[in-house]
Amino acid sequence: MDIQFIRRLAELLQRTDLDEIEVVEGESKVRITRHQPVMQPFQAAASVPTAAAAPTMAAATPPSTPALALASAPELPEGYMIKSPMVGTFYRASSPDAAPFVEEGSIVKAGQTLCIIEAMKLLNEIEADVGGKVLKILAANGQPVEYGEPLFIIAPER
Amino acid sequence: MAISAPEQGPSADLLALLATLADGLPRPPCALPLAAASLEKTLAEAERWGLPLQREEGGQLRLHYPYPPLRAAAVAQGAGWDTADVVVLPWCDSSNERLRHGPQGPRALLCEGQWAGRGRRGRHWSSPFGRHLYLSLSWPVAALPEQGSAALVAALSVHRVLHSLGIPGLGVKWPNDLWVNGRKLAGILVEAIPQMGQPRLIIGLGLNVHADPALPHTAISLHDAGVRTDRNTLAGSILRQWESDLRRYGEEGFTAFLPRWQEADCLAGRWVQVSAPDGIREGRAQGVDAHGRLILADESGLHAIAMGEASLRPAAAP
Repeated sequence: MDIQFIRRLAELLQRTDLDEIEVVEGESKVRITRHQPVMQPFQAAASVPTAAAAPTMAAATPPSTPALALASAPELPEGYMIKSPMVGTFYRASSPDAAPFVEEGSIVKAGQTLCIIEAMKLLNEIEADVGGKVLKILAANGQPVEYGEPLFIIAPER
Repeated sequence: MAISAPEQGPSADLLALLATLADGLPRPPCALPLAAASLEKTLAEAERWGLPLQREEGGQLRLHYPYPPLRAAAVAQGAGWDTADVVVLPWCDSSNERLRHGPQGPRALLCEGQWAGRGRRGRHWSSPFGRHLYLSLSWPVAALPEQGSAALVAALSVHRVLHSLGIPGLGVKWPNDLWVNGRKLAGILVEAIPQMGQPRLIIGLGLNVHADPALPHTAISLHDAGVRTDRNTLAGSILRQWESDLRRYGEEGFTAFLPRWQEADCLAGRWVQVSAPDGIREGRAQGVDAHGRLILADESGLHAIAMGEASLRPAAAP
């Protein structure tokens, strides 16, 4: 899988309405998506079966061709970042059939619950330590998160 | 037990009726807080919820307790606390939820039954009336991120109390279930609540105590394990043990509990499958590390696992 091929895939994504393209070729795989956080546009991994499901921290290595695929990706908004205080599974609601605690655009008060991170059957509620507007939710429901991983960006109220 | 939950909560009429009849004494319909027209409907609803509201000869109604009722004073005495520290409710959504949203004050809350008992991730915990123990403790902590293995410690406390009753085949299953020969005796749910600088843990226990024809075969009660006990005494002993263990955990951390975990661990040495959000992993369980993470050994080495659901895979063992 060469760089030209990946470049063509990125162009294809830009030209179409597709949200995500994933190509598996032998032992290598590339996935290009629109809605991932900026630092993780590619998951170009080879021969590691669990790579696709690896926590996002695994993507800390810089992607090989950031400029192209990112041309249309939104920048992270400026604001107050709430990070994960622990390793665990990120949940946006108190139970699978409950409404999410917050959505992008929600106005939250300081102390309001934003999400739950579960590890070893301890359900840790994460609360907003500032009030304001939720600009961005950076982790997906049910996804594993690492210590210090950004979860929310909040525009603090003045 | 993971079964489907009823869709919505009970009616206000049913809750009012239960509150009046909670003492277990018979009352004539005219002494009830209901219009005669809505009584039949409310009794039918009680039956759907599995609540033992019975009509006696002469038309009197009463709430039938299949075993001696929970008593706050008896539980508090067993725990070595003031009676005001313990609240007993006849029926509620879940003991964790009531303790969390109720007024500040009580340190423990018990109920005879729950209409929305919860297991992990919103799974319904079957909670029939008057037979088992649904017990929650509110425990203030200094800081939350350091409480990672609190659920394991809470399970070890329950293990110690039950072990003293002499139950063959009793063990803890990582991270915090109690098993008797592979069947579930009790489950624990711990919620860590930051509460704007006054963090606390809410520790909830569901323990199968008396005979219960509705228990699935994957579960077991103390009665099935040959133990006859009183729920008030049991709850008092568990609260006392929780208090002592959680205090020690706060001072010394989880490493102080490693020897007890090794004694109680019923997965050690067995072939285990863990399903986690990032995939399924299999290996031979090798106990837990100093953070309470499950250690699995496979051909690629040792792995410390913090997330996921562990199950035994005896058939697949190599």
